[in-house]
Amino acid sequence: MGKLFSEIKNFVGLIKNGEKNPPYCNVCHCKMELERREWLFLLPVWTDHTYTASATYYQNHLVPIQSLAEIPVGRRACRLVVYRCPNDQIRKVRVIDFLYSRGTEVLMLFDDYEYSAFREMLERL
Amino acid sequence: MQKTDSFYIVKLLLASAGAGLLAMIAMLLSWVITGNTPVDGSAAVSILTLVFIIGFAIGTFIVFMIVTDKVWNKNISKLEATFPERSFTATSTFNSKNVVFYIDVPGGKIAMITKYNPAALQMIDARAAQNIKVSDGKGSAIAGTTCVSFSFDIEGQKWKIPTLTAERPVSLKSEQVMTALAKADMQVERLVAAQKMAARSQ
Repeated sequence: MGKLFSEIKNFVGLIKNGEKNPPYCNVCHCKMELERREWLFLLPVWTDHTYTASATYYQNHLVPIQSLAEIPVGRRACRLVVYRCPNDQIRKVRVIDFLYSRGTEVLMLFDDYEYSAFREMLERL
Repeated sequence: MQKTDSFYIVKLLLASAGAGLLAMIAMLLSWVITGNTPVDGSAAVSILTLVFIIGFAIGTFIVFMIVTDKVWNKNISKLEATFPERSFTATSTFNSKNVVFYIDVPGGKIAMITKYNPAALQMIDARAAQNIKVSDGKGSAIAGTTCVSFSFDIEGQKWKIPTLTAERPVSLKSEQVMTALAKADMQVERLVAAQKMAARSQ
C-alpha cells in the first residue's frame, strides 16, 4: 500500500512540476534530495524520433559528453541526476531526455530508475 | 530541377475527367434501363453536365488526395533502389509534405523526389543550392507560427521544405516549433557539409 502511495505521489509530482520535481522515496515516502552534480550524455536518437526507454537501453547507448556545446545539431541528449532519500539513503536516477535547439533544452521525456541499474556506469565516470 | 511535371498533372486531370465521364455514362445507362429519359433535351444536358461536374470533383479529390500519395510512395521505394547505381549514398533523408530530400554528405550531392514529379529522382551537386536559410515563419500579423521551413535556391528556383505545418499558429517557444527548428537546422548543417565536401573533392 505504501509503495503504491509513493508511486502515485511520484506520478502526480511528475505531472505537476515536471522533471524538476524531486521523486518520492518508495520506502518512507518523503521527498528525495538532489545528491550531486548532473551528467550529460548523447543519445543515439535524432530530433523527435522515438525509442523504448529502459535502464538497459540507456546503459548500452549513452555516450558521455562534457558540455552542451558537444551536442550535434538535431541530436538528442540527456541529463542523469541522482536523488537520495535523506532518511534511508535509497538512491534513484532520473534520466531527462531533451533536444537542444537554439540554446533551449526542449524536454522530450524523463523517468526515474533504480540507482543500481546505473551504478557501474556512473562510477566509471 | 522541376517541382512539378506538367504532363503528370495533365494525366491526373484526365483521370479526374474520366471519373466525370463515367458518372455521365452511368446516368445515361440508368435512363436507358429505367426508361425515365427527360423529355426536355436541355434539361437532360443540364443534368448530365451537373453529373459530370460532380463526378469530376469527386474524381479530383480521390486522384489528388489518395492516388498521388500512393504513386509517390511507390516511386520513392523504386527510385531509392537505384541509389547505388547512381553512386549516391543518402546519409540523410528528410520526408516533408510534398518532397523527400536526400543529402549525400561524403559525395557532396543532394537529391529530391517531389509529389507532383514522382517519376524523377532529381540529383544535383550540393553547391548548386544557394541562399540556404531556415525560417521560423513568424509573421507580424500573427502570434506564433504556422510553418517552419528551410529553403534554398537552385538555378533561380526557390525550394522551400517545411519541417512543420500547422493549421493554427503555434507558439515559437513550443516543443513543436523548437523540434521543427532543430530539424531545419540539422538539414541546413548537413547541406552545408555536403557543399564543403563537394568543394574539397573538386
